[in-house]
Amino acid sequence: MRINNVINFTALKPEKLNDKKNVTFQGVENPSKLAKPSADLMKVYFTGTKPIWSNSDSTKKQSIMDFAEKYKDFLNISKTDMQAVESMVQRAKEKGFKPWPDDVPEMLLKPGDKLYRVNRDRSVALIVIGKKPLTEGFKMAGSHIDSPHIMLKAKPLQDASGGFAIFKTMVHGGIKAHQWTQRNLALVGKVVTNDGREIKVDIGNNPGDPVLMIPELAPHVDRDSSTPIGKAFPKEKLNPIVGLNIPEDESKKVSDQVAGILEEKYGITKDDLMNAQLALVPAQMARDVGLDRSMLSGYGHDDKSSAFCSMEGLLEACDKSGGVPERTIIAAAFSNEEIGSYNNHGAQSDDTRAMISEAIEFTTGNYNENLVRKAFKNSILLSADVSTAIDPMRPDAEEATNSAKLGYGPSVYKNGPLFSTPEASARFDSTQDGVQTQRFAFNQDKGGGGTIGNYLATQNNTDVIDTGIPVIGMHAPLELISKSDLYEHKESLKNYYLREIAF
Amino acid sequence: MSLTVNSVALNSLPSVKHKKSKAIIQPDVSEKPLTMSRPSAKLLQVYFTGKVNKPETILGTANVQEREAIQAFGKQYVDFLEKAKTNLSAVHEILKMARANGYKEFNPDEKVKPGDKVYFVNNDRAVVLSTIGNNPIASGVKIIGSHLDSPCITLKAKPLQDSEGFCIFKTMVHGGIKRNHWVNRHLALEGKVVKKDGTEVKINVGNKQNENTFIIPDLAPHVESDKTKSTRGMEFDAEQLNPVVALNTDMEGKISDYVEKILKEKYGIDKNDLLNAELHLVPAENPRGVGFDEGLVGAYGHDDKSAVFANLKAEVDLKNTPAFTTVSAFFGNEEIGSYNNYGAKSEFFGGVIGSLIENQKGSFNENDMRRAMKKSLALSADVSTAVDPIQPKHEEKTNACRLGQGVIMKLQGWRNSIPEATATVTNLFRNNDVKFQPFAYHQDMGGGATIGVYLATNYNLDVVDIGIPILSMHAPVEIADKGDVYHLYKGMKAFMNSDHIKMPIKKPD
Repeated sequence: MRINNVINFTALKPEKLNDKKNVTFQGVENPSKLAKPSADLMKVYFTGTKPIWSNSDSTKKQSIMDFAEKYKDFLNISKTDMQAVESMVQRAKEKGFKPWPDDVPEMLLKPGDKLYRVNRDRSVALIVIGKKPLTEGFKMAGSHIDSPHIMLKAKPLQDASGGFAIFKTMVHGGIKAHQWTQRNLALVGKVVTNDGREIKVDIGNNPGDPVLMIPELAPHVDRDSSTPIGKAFPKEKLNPIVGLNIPEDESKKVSDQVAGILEEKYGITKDDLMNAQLALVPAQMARDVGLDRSMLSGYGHDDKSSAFCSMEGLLEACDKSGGVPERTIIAAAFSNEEIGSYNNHGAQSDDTRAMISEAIEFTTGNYNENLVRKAFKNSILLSADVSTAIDPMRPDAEEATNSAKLGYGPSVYKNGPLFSTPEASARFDSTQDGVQTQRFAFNQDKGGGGTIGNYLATQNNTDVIDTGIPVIGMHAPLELISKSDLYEHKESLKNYYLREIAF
Repeated sequence: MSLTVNSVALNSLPSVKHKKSKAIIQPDVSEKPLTMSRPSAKLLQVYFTGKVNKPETILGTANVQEREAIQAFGKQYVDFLEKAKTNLSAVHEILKMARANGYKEFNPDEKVKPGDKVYFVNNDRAVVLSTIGNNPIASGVKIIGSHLDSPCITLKAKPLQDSEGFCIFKTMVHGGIKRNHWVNRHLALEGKVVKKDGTEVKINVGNKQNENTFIIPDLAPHVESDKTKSTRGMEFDAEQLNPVVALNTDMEGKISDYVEKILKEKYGIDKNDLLNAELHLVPAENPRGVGFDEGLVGAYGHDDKSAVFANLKAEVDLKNTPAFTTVSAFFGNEEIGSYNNYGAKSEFFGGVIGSLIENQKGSFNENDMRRAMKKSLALSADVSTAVDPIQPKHEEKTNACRLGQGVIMKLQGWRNSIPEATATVTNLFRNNDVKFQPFAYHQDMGGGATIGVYLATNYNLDVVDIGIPILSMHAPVEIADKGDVYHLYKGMKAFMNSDHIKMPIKKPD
């Protein structure tokens, strides 16, 4: 989920409001009271609602734990968008999916055909053609596979004081900078050489690999605690150390030595780094959290959890419908959500519409824009993305009555008219019997964020429901989720794909 | 009137007052000249080994022949800048040059064939030139996009107002400016008025040497000692940027009535006609050379007429039929978000490519265009901020760009371009001796956008952001280097003339 520039609705000071006697904060004398996880208020909505785990029988409990293991394997090899595309294509191939044709195929696509469609190695969609024509409506869950990270600039390799060589970097997405210091970071991505060879880079994810680290000062020498945290960690200082050893040839610099290693090991020169997409991502792998192993920590739950759940949900729905679903079902994973869904591989790209246009053309041989409009108009799509959750230590950041709690199921955003109409969310609910979900809205004074949902809705005139699992510590190098939410999210998506909308 | 009785020079004023009054109008050169202007030697050394304080510039290292070529090109560029200050006048100049070089308005009823040169105009404010290539358009095109508008001050619909005996124009700002740059400047008025009967009246006052200009007055330091406390660049409310239009008349009534009478006599327009007008105040100054230097040009609108002119020249200079169709697109409204029907976000551009495909193929649907776009490559050409010698700390020097160092490539992450696309361009530049440098903003200080990301998103295109580095962007006078503009032209020409669109990429096994 992307951070918005939060519009400050509280520009009017409360004191001023209080001057006017007819304006009062209804029933709340001290607003801070509202923000506390007031047990009384929560009871109203959670009476009788138990966490998923305590509602589950032993078979389901086993499934929850097994599903989490599969997810961990996926997450550990899918840290960047390009890696996620690779592992999703791999999984699709295993299940018999074929690549999407470039042009109208000689044999038109028919119900039951399973295909994967890759855009520039950075976004991917799994598509199963259904019995009904797309123009009567299709099912698509869109998620995103980019997670906040630090990336290298075009001339990254520089010498810094103390005899170090460093990488100069930029930030992708909204992060709290201090969380990324003193972490083992892996370097993942690709370099395109001047003669057009593509070279994969993946350093730090294997146990024997070296890692990179952005240094932070010791508390002993950094006692000025009055600096605001945002100022204490400017983005230009998020530069990892990449080398220290002085070359034997003293006329050379440390950065030259590092450049030599790059050349020797990967055959890339310093100049080649200008055409590179290299991301620094946490080297840590996903782990179970809690003595009850009920939770998972890992990098990139936002939003690989949804990418994985939509993929697995689609595969299960496909199997359950005997390989030929009623409607065409699509699990689409986009990139660049964290920077506004821009560029040709973001959800705003015309490629999203191209996918549906081609699906219509490739299944019927017939196509015009109005058919695409009809298809979107007759569909309810999902924007599958994570939500924030109540943090046990700082519950004030959420508005307790309408926020999400770990373990109570995927959240469905009800954050005002931007996200979905009640007609659409009620229709979505009609596919969700037996699935436990919860409603979610940001604290209106403190929170804010967007997903791909409103772009899908605006650009294509379609109904979109925003749904995803609650996450604690979103956008940190390690985020925390509940295993049962993850499983329930998959169930929720499966049912969306499988069941007809009732009205 | 001076501040002191003896009317001595500002320099001899008491130091406190001196500093205060100076801070309004001048950068703080006097503060710490030595430390501020020293380019951090250590960091620079990495990429400019051996040339710590004086990196090699294009003109500094050019041979006689190239130097002459740069100067000849520079002269044409300067002429263009002088005539093409607004969006409207730029389109006018582009069409003049295009027609002189054999371009014809696209006619859907006439089949285009390789070598044909056509243009599309949209509302006098956006224009696309195209040279049809040997390969069908469906196999991809080479696109270069730039923008014609530069920040300026625009008149409101009821501009004529009276204030303290003066007639003034009420105005609005187009684009992001530091307002203090635009006061006490000679401003020219350019644009058009559409009268009730549908006739169009062109207006252009103040650009010629002997013509009167408009000036937005500012207070003297004597009466406004608290101004130094304002945030820099924001000393003025946007509503205060109103130029003085008239004062003296023997006519009865209001002074604004007198101005209306002049407008009537001179242009045949009355006050109500101004409701349907697009009138811009732009700097009246014409481009000049800067310093004891052969390359530096101080002028209004390098952003983004440098790219416009380089692209225009590269396009009209195409003598042989190119392998692939070239599309040179010039948009308006970039400075206000590329909106409206002549901005880069408009459907206009898709319409151009669509019409060309339909013309060649005889039929058209959107998917035809999508497949063509997928095979195409676009260069979005716009300026970037360069390292300022007086205030260098606003750039992050290792990945900043510098005047005279050549074409910049904006490499600010995946929002700009993917390496598979940029590799094509760097390869082309290297093989054609085009000097280039990467650019990224200081992550904590800078930020800006251009048309590239909209082309990439709306048309699913691979886009590479290029341009030239400039100083004092969005000021009435910006500083650019002729060598950079020439190399931008060289790079664009190489792109148009190459026999492929995208370099084939060999994937790892």
